[in-house]
Amino acid sequence: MREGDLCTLLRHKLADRLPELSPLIDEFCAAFSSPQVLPKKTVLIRLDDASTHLHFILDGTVLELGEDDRGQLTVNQDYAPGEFVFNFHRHLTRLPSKTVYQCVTPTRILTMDQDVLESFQKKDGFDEVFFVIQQHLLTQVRAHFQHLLQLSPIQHYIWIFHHKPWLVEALTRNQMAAFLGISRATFFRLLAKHAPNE
Amino acid sequence: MIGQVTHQLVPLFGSQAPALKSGISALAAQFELITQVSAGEQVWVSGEEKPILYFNGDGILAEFSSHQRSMFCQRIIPPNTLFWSESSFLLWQKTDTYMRCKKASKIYGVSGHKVREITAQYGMGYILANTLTKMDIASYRNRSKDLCLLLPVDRLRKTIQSSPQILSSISRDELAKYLRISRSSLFRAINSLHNA
Repeated sequence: MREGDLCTLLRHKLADRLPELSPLIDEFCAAFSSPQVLPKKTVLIRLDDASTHLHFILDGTVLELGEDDRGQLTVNQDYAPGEFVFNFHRHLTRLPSKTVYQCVTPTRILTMDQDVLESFQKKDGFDEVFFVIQQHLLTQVRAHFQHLLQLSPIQHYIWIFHHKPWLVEALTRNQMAAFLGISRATFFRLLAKHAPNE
Repeated sequence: MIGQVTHQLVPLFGSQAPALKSGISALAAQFELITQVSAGEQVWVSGEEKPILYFNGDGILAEFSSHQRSMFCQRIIPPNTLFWSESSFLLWQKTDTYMRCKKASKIYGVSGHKVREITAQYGMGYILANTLTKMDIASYRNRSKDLCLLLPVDRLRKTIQSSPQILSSISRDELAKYLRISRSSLFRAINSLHNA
């Protein structure tokens, strides 16, 4: 993933409106920070965070972690290169975040400050660009839901093993169990029974 | 029908709805009868181009996704509500699900092209598209959370509370897959709710 790919991604989706939106896309892409490398365990969005910075991952993995009512770990979503990270709870409910977004590997990201994003939201035509970003967010969330619904936990793990091998390395066993929606004990039983062949 | 569609459209424009009243009325007026479906018939199948914003009359529909020859119920469309194919209407791809009628209904709709035309004409921007996408994101996040965290009986209770018609609309097998539990766990959960 290269920095220019963010522009390519937006242009590709908005091709039918180019060149009308082209200057706005250029301006939007240029408004992101220079790439930053964040060490593993850096928290991008904290608990009770009301920020709305928009992040775009170039390299690395970010996890959205939380706790349920019983204090059990939850892993709501993973974010990989080419994906946007956004304070979902704030975006969807206008309430502060109930989860923590943490880098689980060294992560290279571009960030757009919330004030800059807000200024873009007042510009004509930006709601169309923002729709493309939302399309990507929907695709990410929908894919995770469909995996949870359609695959058994072990099928899901094997799918991750083959399609997102970096997650197997980056997540602790506790996090992987929570990501699959099963207890740690069940996850260990499944691993013992069906360890994928490398 | 136009009144019911307007009633569904207004909240999607939030605080801007009063200023966009004429645009909303124009959009509602564009909905036309597309088909009448009976139980078992499909509104769309996977692989079609259906960039349409639909309105379900007084029947019930269920959306299924397919994986390894199994069908998984993803959502129920209650009577008198708007619905759409996310992959086609919002993501600009072909449909990747099946929308099946569970109780006979009249299906109305307006093409995405027409929606674009009217929203441009009335200066409504992408409010509608952004709101529908936001709603879908919220719905998937909530469903994923429920699938990961809730016990089978709690998943069933929550589902019945949010979609009371679900028990009479889909088969027990489909309901088990909707809740991501086995049939035996579903029957235990039903008994447990019944006894409580």
